[in-house]
Amino acid sequence: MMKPFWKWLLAAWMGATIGATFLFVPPEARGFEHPRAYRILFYHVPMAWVATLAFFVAMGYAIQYLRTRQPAADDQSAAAAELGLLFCTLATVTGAIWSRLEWGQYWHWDPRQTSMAVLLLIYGAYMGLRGAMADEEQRARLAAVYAVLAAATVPFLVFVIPRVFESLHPDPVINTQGHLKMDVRMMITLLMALAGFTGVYLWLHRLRVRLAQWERRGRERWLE
Amino acid sequence: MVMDLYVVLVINLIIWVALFGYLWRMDTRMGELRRALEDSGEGAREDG
Repeated sequence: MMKPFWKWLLAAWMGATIGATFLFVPPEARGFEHPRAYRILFYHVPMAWVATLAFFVAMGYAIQYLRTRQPAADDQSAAAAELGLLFCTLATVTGAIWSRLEWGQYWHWDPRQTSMAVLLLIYGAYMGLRGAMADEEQRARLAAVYAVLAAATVPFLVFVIPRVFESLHPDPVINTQGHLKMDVRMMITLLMALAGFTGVYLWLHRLRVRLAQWERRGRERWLE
Repeated sequence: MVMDLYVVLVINLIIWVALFGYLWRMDTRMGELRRALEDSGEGAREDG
């Protein structure tokens, strides 16, 4: 159980991270139309990272559900997919704003933008699938199968397609040549942001699972 | 340009409004369930 101490630590960590994105990192970065706005990186990249992590967590628990048929595993899988969808939406929105600044338009059908939009559709459909079925056991089984299939597309959409097609999107942090091309202060701040937003995700995930357990308890209680 | 830093602030705002909005929605739902369970006699065994 996460004690309040960890919540305060997380809040302090995120406060320090936000402060670092304005005060610690170099004031400007080369190679951008708007050299100060590169700070969006410290928010946009963690959103995409957490979304990818959450989709794989959803797959892991979906496999666990299919093996054990424990409703708790379904709760975990559903919570991860829902949060993955939230963070994927935020990655898309922050990316669109950055795109407007750097490329002049919110949407370019850039391979990375398009693959994130496809992920939004895939996991939006997952939420629709869950909402459309009343029978809990059937919903959990079908959603688990869908979550596994959906996560199988994630490596292609996130890692392969953006590297195969021509893209305006900057190289990933570790680029195709395997080189790190980033100032040390930027790298420290990016790692802080990645760790902090991962912590926020884990906290929200835990709360979402608890809510799902309460909902189940309520349904069982009122069906008696 | 200072304008660029405003954009970063706006992005911060969007992210935190979304995350706290999600948290608030969960908290509201949990409160409803807690009250309903208390009314039905089970009571809440855990803190939110």
